[in-house]
This record gives sequence, C-alpha cells and structure tokens, in this order.
Amino acid sequence: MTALLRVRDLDAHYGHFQALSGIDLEVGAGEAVAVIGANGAGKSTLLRAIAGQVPQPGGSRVEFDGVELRGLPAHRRARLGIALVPEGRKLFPSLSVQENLLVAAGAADRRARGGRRWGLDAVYELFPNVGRLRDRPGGALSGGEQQAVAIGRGLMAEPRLLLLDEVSLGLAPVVVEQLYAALGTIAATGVAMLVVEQDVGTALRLAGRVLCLRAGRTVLTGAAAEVTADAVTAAYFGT
Amino acid sequence: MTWVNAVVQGLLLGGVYALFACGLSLVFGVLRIVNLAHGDLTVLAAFLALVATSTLGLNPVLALVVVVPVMAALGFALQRLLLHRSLRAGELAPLLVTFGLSIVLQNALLQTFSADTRSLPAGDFGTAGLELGGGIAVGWLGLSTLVVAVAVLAGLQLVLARTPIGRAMRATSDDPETAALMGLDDRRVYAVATAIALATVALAGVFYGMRGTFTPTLGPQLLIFAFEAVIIGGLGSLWGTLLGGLVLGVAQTVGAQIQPTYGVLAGHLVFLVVLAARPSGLLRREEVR
Repeated sequence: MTALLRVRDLDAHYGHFQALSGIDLEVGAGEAVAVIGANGAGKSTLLRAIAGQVPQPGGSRVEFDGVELRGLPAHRRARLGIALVPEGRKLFPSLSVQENLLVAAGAADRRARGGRRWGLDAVYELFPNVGRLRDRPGGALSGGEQQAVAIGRGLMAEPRLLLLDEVSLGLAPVVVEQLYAALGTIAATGVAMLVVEQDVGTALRLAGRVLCLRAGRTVLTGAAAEVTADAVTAAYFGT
Repeated sequence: MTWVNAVVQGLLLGGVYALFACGLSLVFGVLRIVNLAHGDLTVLAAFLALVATSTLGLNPVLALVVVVPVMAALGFALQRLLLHRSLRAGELAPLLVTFGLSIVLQNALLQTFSADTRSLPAGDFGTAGLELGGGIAVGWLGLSTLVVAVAVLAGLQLVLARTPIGRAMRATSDDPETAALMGLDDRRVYAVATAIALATVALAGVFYGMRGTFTPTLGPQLLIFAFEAVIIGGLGSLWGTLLGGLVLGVAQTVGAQIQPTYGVLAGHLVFLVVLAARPSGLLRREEVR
C-alpha cells in the first residue's frame, strides 16, 4: 500500500517537556490506524503535530502524499486534505450548526473543483439529527450532537486523512456506537484515518493497525488482528 | 420644541459617533484588540481627504473614492505587518502597539500639516437643510451621515451574518486555532477585517471633516467618543454600536440644552451610568460573536 502519511523520527516539545520521541508511523491511503495509550502518552500531541498545531523540530519528518509538511501552518495542511477532529469537539459557539459545517468547506474549494464527495446533504444523510439541528448555535448541543457536527465539519473539508481525537470521550455507549458506525461508513469511502482513543476495544473495531504510545514513545505496533490483549495491556501499563 | 430639537440634533450627532465607532467595534469583535490609534486613523483619513480635495480639486464626498481604498489598504498592511505580530505577544502588546501608533500618527500629521485647524469644504451640502416646522431643521450633511452610519452598520451586519468571509471572521474570533484546522488563515481573515474597519474609518473621517474642524491632535478625543459609543451599546455588537452612538449624541445635545458647557460632560455621565448599571452594554454581544 502506498503511504499517504509518512512520519519519521517525530519529536514534539511543550517548552522543556518532551511529549513525543522518535515516532515512526505510516498510514496508507484509505487505511485506518488506531493510536492508543494512557493519559499523557502523547496521542493527542501526535495528531496535533501532524495537523500543524505543534512545532516540528528540524530532524523530524512528516510527509503527506509525498510533500514534506515542515514549516506549513495548520491552515495550509488542512487545504492539503488533513482534517483534525479535535478533542473536546471545539465547535464555534457563535456559529449555527450549518455555519460550523460550511466554514470548513472553504478548505477544500480548490481541491474539490472536480466535484465534492462531502457536502451538506451528504453530512446530513450520514448524521440525520445534525440536519434537524442545523439552525441551532454550535454551543447549544449535547456532547454526542457536538461530536457528530465536529466529524461532519471535518468531512466538509474533503479530507484524505481524518485525524480523530478521543471521539468517544464522555459519551454514552449507545452514542459511541452510532458515531463509530458512521466512521465505518466514512472509512468505506476511502478516507484514511488516524484514530486516537483511550478505549482500546472501540478503536480496534475500526482500525486495521494499532500503535501504542507510552510516555511519548512507541511501545507496540502491529496489525489489529494480531495484537493480543495481553500485549496491549503490557504496552499500555509498561508491565 | 427646543427639547425636541435637541433630541433630533442629538440623533444626527449620534450618526457621526456611530460611524466613528463601527470600525472600533468590528476590530474588537473580530480581533479582540482595542485599537487606541482608532481616533488618529480617523483624523488621518480626514487629512487624506483634505489633500485629495486640494490637489485633485475633488469635492470631499467624491474624495471618498480615493480615501476609502487607501485606508482599507493601509488597514490590511497594518494588520499584516504590525498588529498580527503583537497579537501573539499577549493582550497587553496590541494596546501598547496601537498606543505607540497613535503617538507616531499624531506627530507625523503635526510635522506634515502643522497644528492649524482644518475642515473639509462641504459647500452648500454642509449648510443646507430641511425645515421640519416648529423651528426644527435637519441639515442634509447630518442626515446623510446618519443614513450612511445606519447603512454601513447594516452592511457590516449582513457581511458578518451571510457571507463566507463574515463566517470566517466569526469562526476565527471564536477560536483561531480551530479555525486554522478548517483551512482559515487567521492572518488573512484579520487583515480583511481591519481593512473593512479602516474603510469605515475613512467614511467617519471625511464626514466629520465636513461637519466640523480637525487638528492633528484631535484623535484621542474622537477615540473617547467612539469608545463610549461602543461600551454604551455593548462590546462587539454592531447594532449596539449604533444605539450607543445615538444615546451618546442625544445625551450631549440634551446636556448642552440644559447648560451649553454640559454637553460633553453629559455624554460622559451617561457612559458612566451605563458602565455601572449594565457593564455589558445596552445590547448584549450577539451579532459579531
């Protein structure tokens, strides 16, 4: 499989604190990879570094579709087709649900000239309740509704790589079930995904491969089907 | 009837204040910057119009064709080259930078144009009016200023609510980091907002220059009136800015009716009362954020 995203020796720092050390990762076109690990393992930092929200040190390489991303700010990476659905959803509270979706559509305007895969109609079809809430302010939704809008907003940017940060956090199991069913539909359209989750079981349902981080380093990597529960537990807790 | 006349004249004066204030309100609403050079930029626009009228022989209203684009371009450049850098250095830095800009502008204008009092030649437009009966007359200039202020604020409101760039401004104002994830370049969004704000500043400067006199050091006084209009109306609310301008204008003319020297003082007192009783302003912030 051709690598859509190729990360080599990625470090990330918050001041003097080193959050990531020497991460190597490849995500193929249309592939879903799960990033698991305990709180503070560096999972979100990895997504933020790929999306351009964390500075990329000189020795680290992040290539997307053959293009080195160093020095590219977050908005340029979004226009290349990298969409981050951030932890906490971060909807724009003063924009309506529909405006939240539309604001991301501009990122794909140049790439989507040949026709859009994800427009308002497609997002409303995937998440019918989002369509019903289209005129509500982004700040006046339940957690599950917000998460659906956040994923829909990511899709409106016509991503080739969707970075999902803790989709299930704080949501009821039935809501998580619905959201992951929708993510399965999205994956089937050929959008590659990097899924960060603390809930290992949930993440592995979607992903073909898994990467486990502990204290900013890779401690386990392999095909989801071949990784045993004991290996994950050992990698997760370092036992 | 003199009291009715005071209120009518106050509403017309309020149109000028609303026009002053809408650029300040927009920049605060989108960039979260209180631009302390706002008044000096208004005076700069008036002087640019003066140059355009004296060198090109243009009527001040026609001079807007030159002054508005020049000020908009200045706003774009100012944001890209100066203000954006200061935004990254915390909340205090933009205040200091715009305060410094205010001093630089005042001194540059003094150096170029001297301290003489100037005005823009409005001709008959500045003196003719409409007799409403009962001793009440409305000047065409004052009426035009009020109409322009309402049109500018309504237009800005429409841009913010209905257009992609308006949506981008509100999203970036809400959360610039997440807006970047949507492909929005905050530098460009902020620069466009500042350009629009300075286009309105150009209108304010030219209408003020036709209505009264100006000097290079008038800026801080205009800033206070604009600031009071924004605070009375509600920070970041464009309709609130219109209301704030009108309230300030009426307070000043009614105060002056009581005692001619009380005009400006009455405006300040109304501002203080609003600040004490309703710190978020008469209209809550909704339109911009």
